[in-house]
Amino acid sequence: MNPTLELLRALEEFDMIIRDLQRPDYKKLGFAMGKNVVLFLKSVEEEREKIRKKIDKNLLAEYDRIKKRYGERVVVQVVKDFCGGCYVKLPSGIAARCQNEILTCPHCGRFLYRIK
Amino acid sequence: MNLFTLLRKDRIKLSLESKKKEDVLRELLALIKQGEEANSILQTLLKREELGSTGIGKGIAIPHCRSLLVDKLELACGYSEKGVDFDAPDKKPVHLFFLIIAPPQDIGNQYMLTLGRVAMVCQELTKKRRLVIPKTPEEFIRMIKEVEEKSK
Repeated sequence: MNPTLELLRALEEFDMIIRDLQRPDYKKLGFAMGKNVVLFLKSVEEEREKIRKKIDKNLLAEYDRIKKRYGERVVVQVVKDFCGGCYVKLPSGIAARCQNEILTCPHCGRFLYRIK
Repeated sequence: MNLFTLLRKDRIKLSLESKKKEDVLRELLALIKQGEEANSILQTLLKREELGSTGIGKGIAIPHCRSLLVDKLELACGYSEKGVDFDAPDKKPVHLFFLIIAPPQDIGNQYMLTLGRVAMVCQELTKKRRLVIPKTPEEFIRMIKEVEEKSK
């Protein structure tokens, strides 16, 4: 996978961790989150910032824009030449190149990736 | 939903060799993914562990995360005779591991349901004074099935 796309993937996966940690059904499972909630939230933000610092500012702005618009699923998988975010069929060139290049869905703007 | 139906013989390793947290996660991940993708998922798992150990005490841990690199929920189990320091809340070494990797969005909230099911099974397993783990994956699946049927 393209190294920049890899960073975007890491950021979104970390955002998914945070999202899950805040879910009531997850909290019920009782995994330890540290004794101090304030310290815990601080460490979450620090970890997130570490990842964000590695990403180009323009791409990060684009990531934030898509996240703000859709809430989640900024980086999506291409499934059988369809965008995994909006399910619209992608032009064949985009579908083929998205494993190695930073490409977005022409319809919804999400970043695309393809599993080998 | 039953946990034993999600278990696969080739995803169960009852003789884990690793002694460190990162190594045991890598060893478990190798049952699911190989190469570069396994390494990427490992980094996400380690990030999750940095926020708080997924060790639940009494010798059990349920490392888990969502990953864009899987397209369905993946589950692997492992047992370490010697135990691994996993920063568990009770500070005891972890012997039994359930690794869960889920895609970003899963049909029917399978990720949370599986996590809950694993937590329930682990609770039942630790009711016994000593965790006795079978020697073969087939017997392990049978044991989980029995635990689930008893708890119904």
